[in-house]
Amino acid sequence: MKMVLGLALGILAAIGGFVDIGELVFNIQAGASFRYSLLWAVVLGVIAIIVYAEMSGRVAAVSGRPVFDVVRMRMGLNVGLVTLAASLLINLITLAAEVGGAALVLQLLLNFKVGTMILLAAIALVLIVYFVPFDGIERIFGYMGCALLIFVVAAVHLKPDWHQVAQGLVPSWSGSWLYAYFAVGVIGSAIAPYEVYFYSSGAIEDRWTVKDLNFNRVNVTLGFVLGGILSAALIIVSAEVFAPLHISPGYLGTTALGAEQAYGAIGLLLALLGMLFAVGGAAVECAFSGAYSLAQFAGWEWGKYRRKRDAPRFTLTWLIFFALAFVIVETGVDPVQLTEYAVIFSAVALPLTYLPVLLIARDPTYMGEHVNGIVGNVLGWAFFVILLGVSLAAIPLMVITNGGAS
Amino acid sequence: MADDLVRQRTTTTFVRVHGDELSAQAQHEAEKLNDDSIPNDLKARAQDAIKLASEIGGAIDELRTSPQDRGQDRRDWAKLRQWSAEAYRLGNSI
Amino acid sequence: MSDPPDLMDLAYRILDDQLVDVDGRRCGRADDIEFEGGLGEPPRLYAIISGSGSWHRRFPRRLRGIGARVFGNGVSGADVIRVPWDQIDEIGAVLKLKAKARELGLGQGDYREGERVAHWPKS
Repeated sequence: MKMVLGLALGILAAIGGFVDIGELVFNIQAGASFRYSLLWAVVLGVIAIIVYAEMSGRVAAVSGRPVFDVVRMRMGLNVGLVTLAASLLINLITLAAEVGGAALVLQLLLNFKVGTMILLAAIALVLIVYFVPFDGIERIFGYMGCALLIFVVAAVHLKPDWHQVAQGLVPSWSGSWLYAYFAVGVIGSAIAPYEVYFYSSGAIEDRWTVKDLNFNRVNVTLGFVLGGILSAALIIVSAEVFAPLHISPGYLGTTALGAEQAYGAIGLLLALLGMLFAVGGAAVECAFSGAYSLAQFAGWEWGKYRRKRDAPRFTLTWLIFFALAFVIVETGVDPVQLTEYAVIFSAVALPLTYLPVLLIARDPTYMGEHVNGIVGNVLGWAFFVILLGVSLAAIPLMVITNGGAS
Repeated sequence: MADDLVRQRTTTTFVRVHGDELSAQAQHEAEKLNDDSIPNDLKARAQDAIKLASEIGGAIDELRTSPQDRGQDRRDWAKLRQWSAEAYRLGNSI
Repeated sequence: MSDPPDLMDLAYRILDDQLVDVDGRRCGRADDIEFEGGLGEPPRLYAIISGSGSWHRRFPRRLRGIGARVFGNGVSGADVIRVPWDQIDEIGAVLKLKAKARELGLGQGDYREGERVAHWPKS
């Protein structure tokens, strides 16, 4: 019973934690521009992250190695350093986008100057992470992020043509570069690598063993599928509200309008609250993810459950990450624009961390009998090829479409 | 946003903040169109677009300034609906 | 432990592995390995080298100069620590050491910063 409750709470936190500023930006824009025809990209992204996270969790539980430990070990120092540098940079850009996004949402709620909100968002996040026990942080952000479920309710309320929605689940090609760009963006938003680094490090901290493998499978499958439904709801709401009016949503406020159209002020407030906590939670995961990556690569002591004096360089790293993100946002860069760069560059770097995890997951030297089976290998390699394609296409598409503007 | 304001399905704070973003964007588009070099055959339509962007920005600013003025809100909403349709027609004509 | 694997497997397995001391404290990685043995003798694993000061030696030749400037030259006792092979207790997911990190000179960065962070609230 305790395990079922733990699983339910974990899944709830995962739903609220799945959506970050990437989905809030890309999915809403995708729905406005292409209606339901990119829902298949959400499905593909969700399956990809399930495969990646399940392998990472299993590798952590069986071999005791989190992602960046595996990267260092399997790719060696040189390639590992390049991967680390790319991951840290992308983490930082993503963190800045999340902090900036949190500030924008706070401004929509409180109407103070954006500079003040950036400072408030950064300080609040640092204080919460510093003083609140980590279980509490996960629950706060995860549960409050579930307010975003208003978009799922709104999606049903707006009575879309479900036949067209179903057709959108089948991969199609509109023949435009812009469509391809948004496909990459939607997939890239779903497979945010920082979520997987965080997940696998958490598995080590929670001392997972082979007894937790079933829990790992159920957790990633249910959590990400339900999160994916939320992600798909953003596209559906946007398709119903913005596409008919030819609106090109470029603001987080416009995203919230989708819920307001369905449920008025209550819908608006729930959407803003959900966005605030989803983005805030993502910021926390991002900062820790960067600290995990660096500490694991360098061999430092690490852990969110460790006393700060026992993992001091790990602690200093996430604090410095927040400080740098604050500086970036303070320069006045648009968090929405920053999000697009973060998602696209994440997609580019994804194979660098996916491949070592896949290689270890199928290596009986490390995994024993818990090595990938036939299905695991087929899915693992199939998605590596897909992600490699996404990775190679991402930057050319960003250039050709001028960052989705044309 | 104007539609929700007229139907009292939004908050004043949201209209003020989001409206500020939208009116600034409209102003920015007007300035960009004014500064860019436009081919002769499009100059007239560019002027129409600049005028539309300025008017849209102005109407949004009125909504922001006094969102509780129901009469003003309805007038601005009606104008914004009309200008939105004009902007779409103008965009499609290019 | 089962029969020890051959030398090449050992080098493959231990290079870049995490070092953990007798108290379970993470204290660096096996950044390089040292062999001993003269001409005609079979090489024997002699020591683990830990520290970013050893990284530049593994970089492509053209990047070694900048690598040494950025990550350290390899000053013994400072950015490079030599851990004798007989200090390795167990080879598994990590390399477990027989002694404390401090006694071997490992994890200096964490000890140093730990003294600073210890003064912070709720540390």
